[in-house]
Amino acid sequence: MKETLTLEIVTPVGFSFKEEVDEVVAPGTEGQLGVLPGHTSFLTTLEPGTLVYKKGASSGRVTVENAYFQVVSNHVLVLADSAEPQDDTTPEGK
Amino acid sequence: MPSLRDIRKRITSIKSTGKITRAMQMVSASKLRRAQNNMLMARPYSNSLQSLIATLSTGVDDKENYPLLSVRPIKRVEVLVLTSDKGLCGAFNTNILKDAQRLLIDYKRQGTEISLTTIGKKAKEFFHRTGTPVRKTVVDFYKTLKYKQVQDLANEIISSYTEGRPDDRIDEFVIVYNEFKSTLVQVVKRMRLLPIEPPDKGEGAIEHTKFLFEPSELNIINGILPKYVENLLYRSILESQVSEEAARMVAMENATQNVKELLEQLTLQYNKARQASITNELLDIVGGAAAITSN
Repeated sequence: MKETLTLEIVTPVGFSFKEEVDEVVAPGTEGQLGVLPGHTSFLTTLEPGTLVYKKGASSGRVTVENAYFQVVSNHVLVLADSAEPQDDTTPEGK
Repeated sequence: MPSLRDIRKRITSIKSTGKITRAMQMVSASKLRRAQNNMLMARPYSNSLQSLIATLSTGVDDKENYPLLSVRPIKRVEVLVLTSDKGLCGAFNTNILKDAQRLLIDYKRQGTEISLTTIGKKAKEFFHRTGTPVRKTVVDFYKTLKYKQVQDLANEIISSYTEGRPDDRIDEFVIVYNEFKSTLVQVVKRMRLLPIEPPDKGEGAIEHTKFLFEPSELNIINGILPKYVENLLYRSILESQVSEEAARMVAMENATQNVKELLEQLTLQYNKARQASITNELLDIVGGAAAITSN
């Protein structure tokens, strides 16, 4: 079975999001970072910006602010002050 | 014996009080639902943050570098009292204020300097009455509660803890609030906000040493600890709000029940009085008739 990442985004006021995805690209403070399944345990801060996740042929974007980004055994946890999904989920290549 | 008209007047007035209490009960019920929903919405974030902090704090050996975790000798303490802006919510405010008062006395006995922050009109009025100086007081906080406001308050608290010379800064921060157990039970709770008490490590927590930190462990932990303070503060404010509405709902339910009982009693009294007056009138008529016929 193909490995996937569990992406979970939560904010204090209630936005929460949980989905199985293939890849996550986030705006880390030390530069753009990409996470694939099997990544080592990892904790960093994010710059305000857009987090992109890919799932099969489709992708989604979430704008995050003041976020902490944690990866533990294929579980990506984003603790953000605010998060707003952008609803331009389009098939890739379009 | 009150006259018929007096009783009728009381019945009308009690009926209208009953209408008010019933309306307030329903308003509180819906506010309670909303507040509980807020609490539910905040839970995933708090839980995640809590387990993260629990993991991180196990790896912290040298607390010197983390001012929010380090315990100092307590010379000055700040107490935050969370009350409501409105009354008619049973013992909600009384319990809190009583406990806060007790806490203040305890600290005073230990020779600790105290400063006081209050949220809610009830605390403001109470401490004004008792002549206790209050450093900062916030009213009408709940109406437009936004996370940003809580953040600002938390930042202020944190800077009064970390900044300043050792004599002006506070060494401990305690919140006194009502914890929501159930609709019927709210318990007054004292929570130490600062220095941070790392939460217990839940099951399945991750080993700290396995983490890779970027930029550095120190930066990240010192950045995330204030978030935890914010979140604890936010949570206790939400709890207090839920408790307030629950207390008000129960108080109003009891009031409505009392109105019902009172009305029953008064109706009985009214009917008795009416019966008595009819009997009296009959007696008069019969007596009059008897007087005429005997002539």
